Amino acid sequence: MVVNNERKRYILIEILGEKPDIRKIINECKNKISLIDGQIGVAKAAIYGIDFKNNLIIIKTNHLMRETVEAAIALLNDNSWKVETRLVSGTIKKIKTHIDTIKQ
Amino acid sequence: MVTSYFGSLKDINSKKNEEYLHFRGINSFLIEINDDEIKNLELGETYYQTFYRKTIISDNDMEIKKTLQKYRKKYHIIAGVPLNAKTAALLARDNRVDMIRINPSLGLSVFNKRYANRVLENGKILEIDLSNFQNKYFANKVRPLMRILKSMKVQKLSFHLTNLPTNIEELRSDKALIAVGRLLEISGNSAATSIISDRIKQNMKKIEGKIPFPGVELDGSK
Repeated sequence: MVVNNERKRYILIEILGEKPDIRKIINECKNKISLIDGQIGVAKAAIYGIDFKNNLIIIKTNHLMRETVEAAIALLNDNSWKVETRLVSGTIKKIKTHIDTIKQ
Repeated sequence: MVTSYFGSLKDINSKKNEEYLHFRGINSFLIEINDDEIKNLELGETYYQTFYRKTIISDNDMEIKKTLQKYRKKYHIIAGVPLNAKTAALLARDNRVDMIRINPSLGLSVFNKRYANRVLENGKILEIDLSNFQNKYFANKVRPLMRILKSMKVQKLSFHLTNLPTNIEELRSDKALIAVGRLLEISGNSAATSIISDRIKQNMKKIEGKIPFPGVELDGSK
Protein backbone atom coordinates (compact mmCIF):
# COMPACT_ATOMS: atom_id res chain seq x y z
CA MET A 1 0.00 0.00 0.00
CA VAL A 2 1.32 3.43 -0.93
CA VAL A 3 1.15 6.02 1.85
CA ASN A 4 1.73 9.67 1.03
CA ASN A 5 4.26 11.40 3.20
CA GLU A 6 2.64 14.25 5.13
CA ARG A 7 3.60 17.74 4.01
CA LYS A 8 5.86 19.58 6.41
CA ARG A 9 7.10 23.06 7.16
CA TYR A 10 10.45 24.09 8.55
CA ILE A 11 10.42 27.13 10.84
CA LEU A 12 13.62 29.05 11.49
CA ILE A 13 13.65 30.81 14.85
CA GLU A 14 16.27 33.06 16.37
CA ILE A 15 17.06 33.26 20.06
CA LEU A 16 18.21 36.29 22.03
CA GLY A 17 19.72 35.90 25.48
CA GLU A 18 20.95 32.81 27.30
CA LYS A 19 21.31 29.77 25.07
CA PRO A 20 18.71 27.29 26.38
CA ASP A 21 18.45 23.57 25.71
CA ILE A 22 16.62 22.86 22.43
CA ARG A 23 14.40 20.32 24.24
CA LYS A 24 13.30 23.03 26.67
CA ILE A 25 12.16 25.28 23.82
CA ILE A 26 10.33 22.42 22.09
CA ASN A 27 8.58 21.50 25.36
CA GLU A 28 7.56 25.11 25.97
CA CYS A 29 6.22 25.22 22.40
CA LYS A 30 4.25 22.01 22.97
CA ASN A 31 2.77 23.43 26.20
CA LYS A 32 1.58 26.55 24.36
CA ILE A 33 0.10 24.50 21.51
CA SER A 34 -1.62 22.38 24.13
CA LEU A 35 -3.19 25.56 25.60
CA ILE A 36 -4.29 26.74 22.16
CA ASP A 37 -5.35 23.52 20.47
CA GLY A 38 -5.26 20.78 23.10
CA GLN A 39 -3.38 17.50 23.14
CA ILE A 40 -4.74 16.49 19.73
CA GLY A 41 -3.26 19.71 18.38
CA VAL A 42 0.14 18.79 19.81
CA ALA A 43 -0.11 15.36 18.19
CA LYS A 44 -1.12 16.85 14.83
CA ALA A 45 1.64 19.47 14.95
CA ALA A 46 4.34 16.79 15.35
CA ILE A 47 7.04 19.23 16.36
CA TYR A 48 10.69 18.20 16.14
CA GLY A 49 13.77 20.29 16.77
CA ILE A 50 16.19 19.65 13.92
CA ASP A 51 19.17 21.92 14.23
CA PHE A 52 20.55 24.41 16.74
CA LYS A 53 23.54 26.50 15.71
CA ASN A 54 24.52 30.12 16.43
CA ASN A 55 21.25 31.01 18.20
CA LEU A 56 19.22 29.71 15.24
CA ILE A 57 16.87 26.75 15.61
CA ILE A 58 15.10 24.83 12.85
CA ILE A 59 11.79 23.31 13.90
CA LYS A 60 9.91 20.81 11.77
CA THR A 61 6.11 20.72 11.88
CA ASN A 62 3.06 19.60 9.93
CA HIS A 63 1.99 22.14 7.28
CA LEU A 64 -1.63 22.20 8.49
CA MET A 65 -0.54 23.24 11.99
CA ARG A 66 1.96 25.86 10.85
CA GLU A 67 -0.21 28.84 11.92
CA THR A 68 -0.81 27.44 15.39
CA VAL A 69 2.89 26.70 15.87
CA GLU A 70 3.79 30.23 14.74
CA ALA A 71 1.28 31.68 17.22
CA ALA A 72 2.66 29.44 19.99
CA ILE A 73 6.19 30.68 19.25
CA ALA A 74 4.93 34.29 19.34
CA LEU A 75 3.36 33.68 22.74
CA LEU A 76 6.48 32.13 24.32
CA ASN A 77 7.48 34.24 27.26
CA ASP A 78 10.65 33.65 29.24
CA ASN A 79 12.80 36.09 31.17
CA SER A 80 16.17 34.66 30.19
CA TRP A 81 15.61 34.16 26.45
CA LYS A 82 13.38 35.57 23.69
CA VAL A 83 12.40 33.94 20.41
CA GLU A 84 11.42 35.36 17.06
CA THR A 85 10.32 33.56 13.89
CA ARG A 86 12.57 34.43 10.96
CA LEU A 87 11.48 32.20 8.08
CA VAL A 88 9.03 29.44 7.22
CA SER A 89 9.79 27.13 4.32
CA GLY A 90 8.76 23.81 2.86
CA THR A 91 12.31 22.70 2.19
CA ILE A 92 15.23 22.51 4.57
CA LYS A 93 17.58 23.54 1.77
CA LYS A 94 16.02 26.99 1.53
CA ILE A 95 16.28 27.44 5.30
CA LYS A 96 19.97 26.51 5.21
CA THR A 97 20.73 28.92 2.36
CA HIS A 98 18.96 31.63 4.37
CA ILE A 99 21.17 30.82 7.38
CA ASP A 100 24.24 31.09 5.14
CA THR A 101 23.15 34.53 3.94
CA ILE A 102 22.65 35.64 7.56
CA LYS A 103 26.18 34.46 8.46
CA GLN A 104 27.69 36.37 5.55
CA MET B 1 6.15 48.63 10.85
CA VAL B 2 4.38 50.81 13.44
CA THR B 3 3.89 49.26 16.88
CA SER B 4 1.62 50.66 19.55
CA TYR B 5 3.40 51.22 22.85
CA PHE B 6 1.82 52.24 26.14
CA GLY B 7 4.98 52.64 28.24
CA SER B 8 7.32 55.56 28.74
CA LEU B 9 9.39 57.21 26.02
CA LYS B 10 12.57 56.90 28.13
CA ASP B 11 12.62 53.09 27.72
CA ILE B 12 12.78 53.42 23.96
CA ASN B 13 15.67 55.86 24.05
CA SER B 14 17.81 53.82 26.47
CA LYS B 15 20.78 52.03 24.90
CA LYS B 16 20.27 48.73 26.74
CA ASN B 17 16.99 48.14 24.88
CA GLU B 18 18.52 48.80 21.47
CA GLU B 19 19.58 45.17 20.94
CA TYR B 20 16.15 43.88 21.93
CA LEU B 21 14.30 46.25 19.58
CA HIS B 22 16.65 45.34 16.74
CA PHE B 23 15.99 41.64 17.44
CA ARG B 24 12.23 42.20 17.28
CA GLY B 25 12.64 44.27 14.09
CA ILE B 26 10.80 47.26 15.51
CA ASN B 27 11.80 50.66 14.17
CA SER B 28 8.79 52.91 14.59
CA PHE B 29 6.44 53.43 17.50
CA LEU B 30 2.96 54.76 18.05
CA ILE B 31 3.26 55.92 21.64
CA GLU B 32 0.45 56.71 24.02
CA ILE B 33 1.41 59.89 25.86
CA ASN B 34 -0.34 62.44 28.04
CA ASP B 35 -1.04 66.04 27.20
CA ASP B 36 1.64 67.21 29.66
CA GLU B 37 4.27 64.89 28.24
CA ILE B 38 3.72 66.05 24.65
CA LYS B 39 4.51 69.66 25.65
CA ASN B 40 7.89 68.69 27.08
CA LEU B 41 8.92 66.62 24.06
CA GLU B 42 11.71 67.67 21.80
CA LEU B 43 10.97 66.22 18.40
CA GLY B 44 13.80 64.37 16.73
CA GLU B 45 15.46 63.32 19.98
CA THR B 46 14.81 59.62 19.40
CA TYR B 47 16.67 57.26 17.10
CA TYR B 48 13.38 55.53 16.23
CA GLN B 49 10.49 57.00 14.33
CA THR B 50 7.87 57.99 16.90
CA PHE B 51 4.26 58.95 16.45
CA TYR B 52 1.81 59.88 19.17
CA ARG B 53 -1.59 58.47 19.96
CA LYS B 54 -4.36 59.33 22.38
CA THR B 55 -6.91 56.83 23.62
CA ILE B 56 -10.26 58.21 24.70
CA ILE B 57 -12.12 56.05 27.20
CA SER B 58 -15.45 57.53 28.20
CA ASP B 59 -19.15 56.78 28.55
CA ASN B 60 -20.19 60.38 27.97
CA ASP B 61 -20.54 61.55 24.37
CA MET B 62 -20.17 65.26 25.19
CA GLU B 63 -16.89 64.55 26.96
CA ILE B 64 -15.65 62.62 23.90
CA LYS B 65 -16.56 65.53 21.60
CA LYS B 66 -14.70 68.01 23.84
CA THR B 67 -11.64 65.75 24.00
CA LEU B 68 -11.63 65.32 20.22
CA GLN B 69 -11.84 69.08 19.72
CA LYS B 70 -8.91 69.58 22.08
CA TYR B 71 -6.56 66.85 20.92
CA ARG B 72 -7.23 66.18 17.23
CA LYS B 73 -4.46 68.43 15.93
CA LYS B 74 -1.93 67.39 18.59
CA TYR B 75 -1.84 63.63 18.04
CA HIS B 76 -1.19 61.53 14.96
CA ILE B 77 -3.76 58.89 15.85
CA ILE B 78 -6.84 59.12 18.04
CA ALA B 79 -8.38 55.89 19.29
CA GLY B 80 -11.60 55.41 21.18
CA VAL B 81 -12.84 52.75 23.55
CA PRO B 82 -16.65 52.73 23.72
CA LEU B 83 -18.23 51.97 27.08
CA ASN B 84 -21.84 51.99 25.90
CA ALA B 85 -23.89 51.83 22.68
CA LYS B 86 -24.20 55.61 22.41
CA THR B 87 -20.47 56.27 22.54
CA ALA B 88 -19.85 53.35 20.18
CA ALA B 89 -22.16 54.98 17.63
CA LEU B 90 -20.48 58.38 18.10
CA LEU B 91 -16.99 56.93 17.67
CA ALA B 92 -18.01 55.15 14.47
CA ARG B 93 -19.60 58.31 13.07
CA ASP B 94 -17.08 61.03 13.99
CA ASN B 95 -14.48 61.79 11.31
CA ARG B 96 -11.88 62.84 13.89
CA VAL B 97 -11.60 59.31 15.30
CA ASP B 98 -9.12 56.98 13.57
CA MET B 99 -9.42 53.79 15.56
CA ILE B 100 -12.03 52.00 17.63
CA ARG B 101 -10.94 49.38 20.12
CA ILE B 102 -13.37 46.49 20.42
CA ASN B 103 -14.71 46.28 23.95
CA PRO B 104 -15.91 42.66 24.35
CA SER B 105 -17.99 43.52 27.44
CA LEU B 106 -20.50 45.39 25.21
CA GLY B 107 -21.28 42.17 23.40
CA LEU B 108 -23.15 41.42 20.20
CA SER B 109 -25.84 44.04 20.77
CA VAL B 110 -23.32 46.74 19.78
CA PHE B 111 -20.58 45.00 17.82
CA ASN B 112 -22.50 43.28 15.05
CA LYS B 113 -22.59 43.26 11.25
CA ARG B 114 -24.48 46.56 11.11
CA TYR B 115 -21.79 48.23 13.22
CA ALA B 116 -19.07 46.69 11.05
CA ASN B 117 -20.69 48.21 7.95
CA ARG B 118 -20.87 51.59 9.66
CA VAL B 119 -17.19 51.35 10.62
CA LEU B 120 -16.28 50.40 7.06
CA GLU B 121 -18.30 53.28 5.56
CA ASN B 122 -16.55 55.80 7.79
CA GLY B 123 -13.10 54.33 7.10
CA LYS B 124 -12.22 53.48 10.69
CA ILE B 125 -9.64 50.96 11.85
CA LEU B 126 -10.63 48.38 14.45
CA GLU B 127 -8.10 47.86 17.21
CA ILE B 128 -7.91 44.37 18.65
CA ASP B 129 -6.51 43.78 22.12
CA LEU B 130 -4.47 40.54 22.16
CA SER B 131 -3.17 40.93 25.72
CA ASN B 132 -5.46 38.16 26.99
CA PHE B 133 -3.46 35.58 25.05
CA GLN B 134 -0.54 36.10 27.41
CA ASN B 135 -2.50 34.66 30.36
CA LYS B 136 -2.21 30.96 31.04
CA TYR B 137 -5.90 30.14 30.58
CA PHE B 138 -7.37 32.60 28.12
CA ALA B 139 -10.39 30.73 26.73
CA ASN B 140 -13.03 32.54 28.81
CA LYS B 141 -11.63 35.95 27.96
CA VAL B 142 -11.08 35.28 24.26
CA ARG B 143 -14.49 33.69 23.63
CA PRO B 144 -16.52 36.99 23.62
CA LEU B 145 -13.98 38.59 21.26
CA MET B 146 -14.18 35.60 18.90
CA ARG B 147 -17.99 35.81 18.83
CA ILE B 148 -17.85 39.53 18.06
CA LEU B 149 -15.30 39.06 15.26
CA LYS B 150 -17.40 36.26 13.78
CA SER B 151 -20.49 38.49 13.71
CA MET B 152 -18.51 41.46 12.34
CA LYS B 153 -17.15 39.54 9.38
CA VAL B 154 -17.25 42.10 6.56
CA GLN B 155 -14.88 42.24 3.63
CA LYS B 156 -12.19 44.96 3.53
CA LEU B 157 -12.48 45.74 7.25
CA SER B 158 -9.05 46.80 8.52
CA PHE B 159 -7.54 45.93 11.88
CA HIS B 160 -4.69 47.07 14.09
CA LEU B 161 -3.39 44.35 16.39
CA THR B 162 -1.81 45.21 19.71
CA ASN B 163 -1.02 43.44 22.98
CA LEU B 164 -1.05 46.74 24.94
CA PRO B 165 2.65 46.59 25.91
CA THR B 166 3.56 48.72 28.93
CA ASN B 167 7.24 47.77 28.98
CA ILE B 168 9.79 46.99 26.29
CA GLU B 169 9.90 43.25 26.98
CA GLU B 170 6.21 42.86 26.16
CA LEU B 171 6.72 44.28 22.66
CA ARG B 172 6.19 41.84 19.80
CA SER B 173 6.98 42.09 16.11
CA ASP B 174 4.18 42.56 13.56
CA LYS B 175 4.72 39.00 12.29
CA ALA B 176 4.14 37.62 15.79
CA LEU B 177 1.00 39.72 16.32
CA ILE B 178 -0.39 38.64 12.93
CA ALA B 179 0.33 35.00 13.83
CA VAL B 180 -1.72 35.41 17.03
CA GLY B 181 -4.39 37.33 15.10
CA ARG B 182 -4.78 34.37 12.72
CA LEU B 183 -6.08 32.38 15.71
CA LEU B 184 -9.00 34.84 15.72
CA GLU B 185 -9.42 34.33 11.94
CA ILE B 186 -8.02 37.78 11.12
CA SER B 187 -6.14 37.58 7.83
CA GLY B 188 -2.66 39.00 7.38
CA ASN B 189 -3.82 41.45 4.70
CA SER B 190 -6.57 42.99 6.82
CA ALA B 191 -4.11 43.52 9.68
CA ALA B 192 -1.20 44.73 7.54
CA THR B 193 1.02 47.38 9.10
CA SER B 194 0.68 49.59 6.02
CA ILE B 195 -2.91 50.37 7.10
CA ILE B 196 -1.84 52.30 10.19
CA SER B 197 1.22 53.90 8.58
CA ASP B 198 -0.93 55.20 5.67
CA ARG B 199 -3.40 56.66 8.16
CA ILE B 200 -0.55 58.39 10.05
CA LYS B 201 0.78 59.90 6.80
CA GLN B 202 -2.69 61.19 5.93
CA ASN B 203 -3.18 62.67 9.40
CA MET B 204 0.24 64.36 9.31
CA LYS B 205 -0.80 66.09 6.10
CA LYS B 206 -4.04 67.18 7.78
CA ILE B 207 -2.13 68.55 10.79
CA GLU B 208 0.25 70.44 8.49
CA GLY B 209 -2.76 71.91 6.68
CA LYS B 210 -2.08 70.22 3.34
CA ILE B 211 -5.58 68.69 3.36
CA PRO B 212 -7.92 71.59 4.21
CA PHE B 213 -11.03 69.44 3.76
CA PRO B 214 -11.73 65.90 2.49
CA GLY B 215 -10.98 65.42 -1.21
CA VAL B 216 -8.67 68.44 -1.56
CA GLU B 217 -4.90 68.25 -1.17
CA LEU B 218 -2.51 71.20 -1.53
CA ASP B 219 0.82 70.09 -2.99
CA GLY B 220 2.59 73.46 -2.58
CA SER B 221 3.59 73.92 -6.25
CA LYS B 222 2.46 77.04 -8.15
